[in-house]
Formats: sequence, structure tokens, C-alpha cells
Amino acid sequence: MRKHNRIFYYGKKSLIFLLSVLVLSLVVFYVARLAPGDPLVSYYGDRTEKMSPQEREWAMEKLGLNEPIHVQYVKWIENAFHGEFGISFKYKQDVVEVISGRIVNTLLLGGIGFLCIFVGSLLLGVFCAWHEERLTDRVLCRLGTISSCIPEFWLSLVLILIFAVTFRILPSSGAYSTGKAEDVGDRIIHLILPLTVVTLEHLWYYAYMIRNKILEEVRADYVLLAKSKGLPKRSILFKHCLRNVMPAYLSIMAIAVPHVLGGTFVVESVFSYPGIGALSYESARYHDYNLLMILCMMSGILVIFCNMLSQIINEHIDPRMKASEVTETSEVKAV
Amino acid sequence: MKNILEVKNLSVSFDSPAGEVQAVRDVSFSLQKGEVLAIVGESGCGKSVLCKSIMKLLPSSAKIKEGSICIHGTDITDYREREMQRIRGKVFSMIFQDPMTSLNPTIKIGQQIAEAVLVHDKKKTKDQVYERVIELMELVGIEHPHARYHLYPYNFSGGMRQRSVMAIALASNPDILFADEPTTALDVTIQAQILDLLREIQKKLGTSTILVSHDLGVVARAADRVAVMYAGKIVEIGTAEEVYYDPRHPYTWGLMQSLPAFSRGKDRLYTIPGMPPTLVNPPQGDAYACRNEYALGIDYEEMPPMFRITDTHYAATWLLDERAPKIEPPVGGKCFE
Amino acid sequence: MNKEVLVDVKHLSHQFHLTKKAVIRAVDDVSFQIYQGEILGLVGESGSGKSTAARCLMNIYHPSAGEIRYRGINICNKKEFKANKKMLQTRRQMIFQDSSSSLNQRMKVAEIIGEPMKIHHMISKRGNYREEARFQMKYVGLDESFLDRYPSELSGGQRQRIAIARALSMEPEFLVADEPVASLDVSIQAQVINLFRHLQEEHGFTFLFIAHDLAMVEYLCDRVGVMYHGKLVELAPTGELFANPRHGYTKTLLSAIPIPDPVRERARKLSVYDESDFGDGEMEEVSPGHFVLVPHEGGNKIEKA
Repeated sequence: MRKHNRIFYYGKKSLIFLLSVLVLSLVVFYVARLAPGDPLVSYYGDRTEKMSPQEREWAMEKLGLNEPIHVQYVKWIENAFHGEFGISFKYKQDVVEVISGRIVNTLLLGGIGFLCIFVGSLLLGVFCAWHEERLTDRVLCRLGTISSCIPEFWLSLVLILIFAVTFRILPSSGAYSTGKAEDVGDRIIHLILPLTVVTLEHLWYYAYMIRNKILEEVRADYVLLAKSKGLPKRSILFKHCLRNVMPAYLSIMAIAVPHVLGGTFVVESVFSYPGIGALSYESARYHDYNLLMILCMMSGILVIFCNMLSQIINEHIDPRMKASEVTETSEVKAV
Repeated sequence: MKNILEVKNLSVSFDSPAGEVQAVRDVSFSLQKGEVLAIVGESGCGKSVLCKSIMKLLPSSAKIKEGSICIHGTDITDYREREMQRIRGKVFSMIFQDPMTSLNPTIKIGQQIAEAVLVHDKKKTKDQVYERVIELMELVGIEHPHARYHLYPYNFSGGMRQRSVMAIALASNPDILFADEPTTALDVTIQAQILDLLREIQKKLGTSTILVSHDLGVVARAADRVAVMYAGKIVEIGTAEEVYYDPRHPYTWGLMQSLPAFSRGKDRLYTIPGMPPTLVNPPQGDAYACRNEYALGIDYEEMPPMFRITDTHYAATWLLDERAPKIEPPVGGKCFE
Repeated sequence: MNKEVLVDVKHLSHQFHLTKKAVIRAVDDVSFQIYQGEILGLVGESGSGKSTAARCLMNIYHPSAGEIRYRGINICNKKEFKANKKMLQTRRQMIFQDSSSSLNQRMKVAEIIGEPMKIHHMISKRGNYREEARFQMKYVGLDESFLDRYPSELSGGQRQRIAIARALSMEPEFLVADEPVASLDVSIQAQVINLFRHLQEEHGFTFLFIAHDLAMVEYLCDRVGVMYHGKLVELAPTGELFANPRHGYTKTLLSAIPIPDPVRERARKLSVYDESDFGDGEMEEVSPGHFVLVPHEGGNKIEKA
């Protein structure tokens, strides 16, 4: 019986997911086309200005832009189902190819950055909670607040100034030195500065949250009982408080994924890091519709997926949420 | 009889924005092996703080100002957190008012008890721990312990949770059990069961118990001795019979009179006029004087000492001084028959 | 009886759906009347449905079945409720158990007491809302100096009086008090109980008083209803109920009242209710005004929720 319920539950979730994605694609498609500007410029460059009306019409037809928007949309959807997302006007290549060259860079920066934030904020938060209101905690709290007030681009520039310009120990831009695309060490060196910025910008926000959530738990009555049975502070903090905080933390971290990714976009453009972020900016600026669509869809799907994931974590990890289910089984057992 | 716990002239204060709160003022008492001592008083009189200060469970803003706490003749007043961890659970443990919040909601009941079993005996094997947990659950009267081991606190009723909390508290066979209003949050029909359980355990294991309550009716069932606290001080202490049948302090009279059983057939329930004083600047003299209809002039000026009535019965009121006028107490004797 | 019926509850049922299959019958076919000017007590253990019944009376929950008439108005009927909304919302007031959470911690006492009048755009008889608050404070026996304090600065008993003053500011005639003294000390309970007594005797308020503590109920109430697992199992005048309890559960409840006498209290035997005389059935009048639930012959026994 319960198995059916679960299938139904996930079925419903998937349906909502698909529907959201569809609505998202529709909105992005329309809004992109309604924005003022000439999409032909990105394909033909300066030649566009010299085109005759006939040439223009021919060019529009070639790019499939002469039909009403809804017809274009239906066509796009049809093609998308076959795995064809069209060509990029600017790069004159299949968009999938354009993206695949860069997505690895972004995933590397965003993924490692996210891991650093996830682990770092957990450690920092627990550390601060442990030393509550002592000097170390206070100093860290002040530092953290300052760190999250610094804008990303400014921090990036300062770091470039210090490490790339003054000391010349780290590169200031790019994902690898020319000709060294396969060199892992070189890639890592190029990652250090952008990664630092991405991590520092988000770290404190989540660390502070963990700290306060744990302190909230520490004030709960069950901690008093745990103390009175002789448990050391370490066990209380890790086995009881952290355990109760984790579901909330995980669900918030799931929502944090798109946030962190959004952060990498800015960092990418400052460090001229060839990732998705810079690409999105270009595609929107040059009316590169097909590229813009796929990029928006990708990040949109990620956001929707992460939000759902966080919801599911919230509903399923915490045993308190399963109260009614377990009550039924307990009755059976007791009889 | 040997004294397990001896508290001498204990004073505990809190730092607060309004000033120093003198929550416990100059309290002395002793606890013998296997007895139940009840501490009774209105909320805010310091009874809970007294227990927590003995176990050192108070927040860091609380300080022991004066006095000493001796357990088995060893002075633990200056024990640090690490030393306290070693004796908490083993020498004394505590159960709390609200069983709904005193269990961790996300950990299975059995595991929470097992944790307590393991704290002071890390060598136990898994099977031994499991057996001990089942044994404890049976001891506190939880039926079907094997099935219930794997349930979460929210599957339990209030009474069942309080039993689980007791199982946790008793896991390492403590000498002293502090029970802070253990029945207040429970249904009337469950209250007496929990009190009986306290008694039963105290008989079986020889655990000494300090039972904190605001309700003299509840205390009557379980207590051997009763201490009445007011404004951070013990104002009367004696065996249950002495305090109930021959109360001497006007505050004890007030508490007894405000029980509905006392007002049966009367038009109004008795209430003690006024409010307990704030403990930031406790009044000079007897703190109860301004609510006391029998107050003497000296009550406002000088703190009454503990007057001895019998070897076990003491009360701090100037009415017991030989110069004081004789007053017929409004309660006492077997007045509820 | 020639007393006027204020609230008439007929076959009231309310269910909570936990999941699609698990249903809790919180209130199950309960009927009773509340007469003008009386204090009716409703006792039972936690989860027995007494609070749910009270909330149905206050239109907080919409009952699954049955009807509730207040002065003849069927308040479960949406049309009738709307037509008399203002009257119903001012005449009936509720007081909750936990005064520290039912009062907004960031409002001053004067604002708390005046707020319901502001919401209902009532014109204060005493000039302004502050004067009104001052009057109500005096009414419930609180000092004027508390007007500008916050609830957190007051004791539990004082907060509970503020909650009562707030309810009284609407000039109600019917008050539902849901465990108003359960979180208070015994000595403070007496103050609040005396206030209820005073309000009933001097000002003719009608109360539904919900409690799990029978000792206070015996002192305060005119009639008492005992609830068990969603059903009303016994309803009788207080003296009669305490002298001649008929239902097994009532007997158990009565035997649980602690006696402040060590020797007798220790000797007191606990009786445990065995549920054998519990099940669907009819209320029967065993003596004038004394009703007991008598289960059908071989009727279905209670199913646990």
C-alpha cells in the first residue's frame, strides 16, 4: 500500500517538474523575442546594415525568425524533443557543441566551490557554536559579516591585484595557459583565485545559519537531559544537535546550488574564465536566441530541481515528518 | 543513616540586565540514602535553580556565590565541567517537567536510553546494552519494550515519555534522582502512576529522590520529607507528617489553604495576597512578611533564623520565638477528613 | 428545568484526517446544553476531544456532523453564521491555556486589551481604548500600572488575567476557557478561579470551563461533563457527579484527585479504567439532570484512533 503511495508521490512531483519546465521555456522564449534589438546582427555582423529588405527577409527565413512567435515556439519544442536545439547565431555552431566546450569549466568552478562552501560552513558553524560567545566566536562572527559584505567583483579585483599583479604567483584570467589545456596542474592554478572568491562570498552566510541553528538546539530541553545523563559536550553537539540540524541544512544547501552557480557567473566574467556565465551574458546581449534558450533552460531546470530536492529532503529525512506512518505500524506491533 | 548529599549555606546568583538575581539564598539541607525529599514552592522561588545548581546544569550567567555541596562526603562545589561529566548520570541525574521536549525528537527511544547506558560503561557489548535497555524499560513500566525500542518519542503518550525519561535517568544507577515537576504536564490519572513509579524505584534501587513541585497535593503521595521554599530560601523543612499535620510557617499555611480541597464548601478559594518579591533586591528581613497576615514588626527588619521544633522539623519564622504571640494556625491537624 | 438554554449542542462530531486512511474521531456524537449564567465544566484526559468540542463551539473548527445552536442560531450553517457574524464574534470569547503564547509579546498590555475593539470598530463607552483597557484591568483585579508593561514582565496569573480582560472588552456573554489554569501554580490558580467565580456571580457570564484537574472543577462548576475518547460519558450537576459517579471512567478520574494528606494519600488506591463499559451508546438520565452513556447491548467497542 505504502509503495503505491510513494510512486504516486514521485509521479506527482515529476509532473509538476515537467509543467514548470514547460512554462519556463514558454516565458523565456517569448520574452527573449520581445526584447528590442536585431538578432541578425549576431549572425551577419556589420553586414546587416547594408542588407536590402529582400536580403533581410531571406536571412530571417533562413534562421527561422519570420514566422509568428507561437509557430516558432512549437517548432522549437518539436526539435528540442529530438535533441536538436538549433545553432548559435554568433558561433555558427550547434549550441550543444558551443556549450559542451565550456560547461566543464563552470561545473568545475561551481562544483568545487559548492563543496568548499558545504563542508567549510559546516565546520565553521560548528566551531563557532562550540565556542559560543567566546573570543574566537566573536572574532569569526565579525570577520564573517565583513566578508559577506564585500562585493564579488571588488574582491576579485583586489585578489588579482595582490596575487597576479604584485606578487605574480597566480594567473589573473582564463582557465588554462595557452597550449596547456590538458595540464591538470595548470588548470588548478587557474582555479585558485575564482574559487576563493566564490567560496568566501557564500561561506559565512551558511556558516552563520548553522551556528544559530545549533545554538537554538542547544537551548532545547533534551540537551539538559542529555547533559544530566553524563554525556560530554562533544557527543551532545554532534550526536544530538547537529543531527537535528542536518535535515534543515541539507534542504537549504539544495536551494543554495543555483545561488552558488549564479555567483560563479559574475566571477567568471571578472576572471575572463571561459564558462557558462560569460556565454549567457553574450547570448542575451546579441540576441543569440537558441543559445539563450538552452542556457536559460539549463539553469531553470537546475533551480526547479534543487527546490524540489530540498522539499523532498525536508519531508523525508526528518523522522518527525513521518509521524502518521509510524503510528500505524506501532499499533500493529503492540497488538 | 548516612547523608548522601549535604548542601550547606548555598547561595546562587544570576547576572541579569536588571542586576544580580539572588535565586538561591543561604540554603542548607541534607538528603539521606533512600529517602524522597520534596521541595515545594511557587514558581520563581528557586527550587528548580537549586537542583540545577547541584548538578551544575545552569547557564554560565549563574554563579555559586557561597556555600558547599558535598556528595558522599566529597566536596564537589568547585568541580569543573569535565569532572561533572564523570559523575552526572552515575551519581545523580534528573528528569524534567515536560517529557514532550526533554527527549530528542529525531532519535529512537531505545537508542536514547542506550546512549545513557553506554556513557559510564563503554565496555559493554551491543547485546549487553540492548539487554540493559530492555531491562530499564521494563523497570519503568513500558510494556512491549522490544517493539517500542525502535519507536520515536512522538509515538509515545506523555506518560510513556516520562517513563522513558526516567529510564534514561536511571541508566547508570544514580544515587540521587532530581525530579523537577515530573507530573505537572501530565494527565491527572497518569500523575499518580508516575509518582508511584518514583516510589517503587526508590524502594527497589534505594535511589534517593529530590522531588520538586508546586502542588502540595501531589507531593503528599511520594514524599518522606518536605522542604518549603520561598524567595530562594527554605522556610520550613520536616517529615511529611510534620509539615502537613503541624505546619509552622505562615507561607506553608498559605500554600495549604490555597488548595481547593481546603476551600470545600466555602464561597471563595483562599489566595495568598500579593506576589512573590523579585530576587534582584530581596527585602531585608522575612521576604514573606508583606504577604503575611501574621507578620510581626521584627519580620520587616531581621531575617528569622531556623527555629528547631523537633529533631527533624525546622521553620524560619519569628512566630516560633518564645517572645512571639501565640497564634492558632489556620490549617494543620488532619483537617481534610 | 426552566433555565434558558444559551448553547445547544446536538450530535456534534469532528474528525481529523491524518492520512487518507487514518481518521481520528476527536469528537464523536456529543450532545449537551449550556444554560444561561452557568459554568459548565468539561473534563477528560488530553486527547479526549474537550478542546476540539470547544473550538467547534467557537467556529474555529467546522464540525463534520451535528449542529450547534447559539441562542437558536445554527452557527454551523454558513448563511446563518454570516447573518449574525458580528453578534456571534463579540458575544462569544475564548481564553487559552498558555497565556505567554496567546498574548503578543511585542504589544503593551493596554494595546492587547484594546485590540479586539479596534478590529471590530467598536466605540468605547469610556472615551478611548486606553480608558477602556484601564476599566477592564480594574475589573479583573489588576493594577493600572501594568498598562504600559509588556506581557513578559508579568507573572503567569497576571498574564492570564490580561487574556481574560481582553476577552471581556468585547462585552461578551459567553466565555470558553480552555484549560485556563493548567499552566499556573496552585496558589495562582486560585486567583484566576476566584475571578471566574466573581464574573459569573456578579455579572452573569456563562462559561464553558475546560480542565483536566477535577479539584478545581468541583469548586467552580455548576455542572460537569466528562469526556473520554471523543465521547461524553457522563454529565451531571457537580455535587451529584462527585457524590454518585456512575461511569467507570468518571470513577477513575475522581479517584485520581490527590489528597493533601500524606497518610491517606499514600494509602489511596489507584483505579485503572478498563474500558469494558465503553462503546457507542445512548445517554440515559439516571436521576434528574444526571446523564450517563450506556453502551448498546453488544455494541461495538471502542476502536483506537
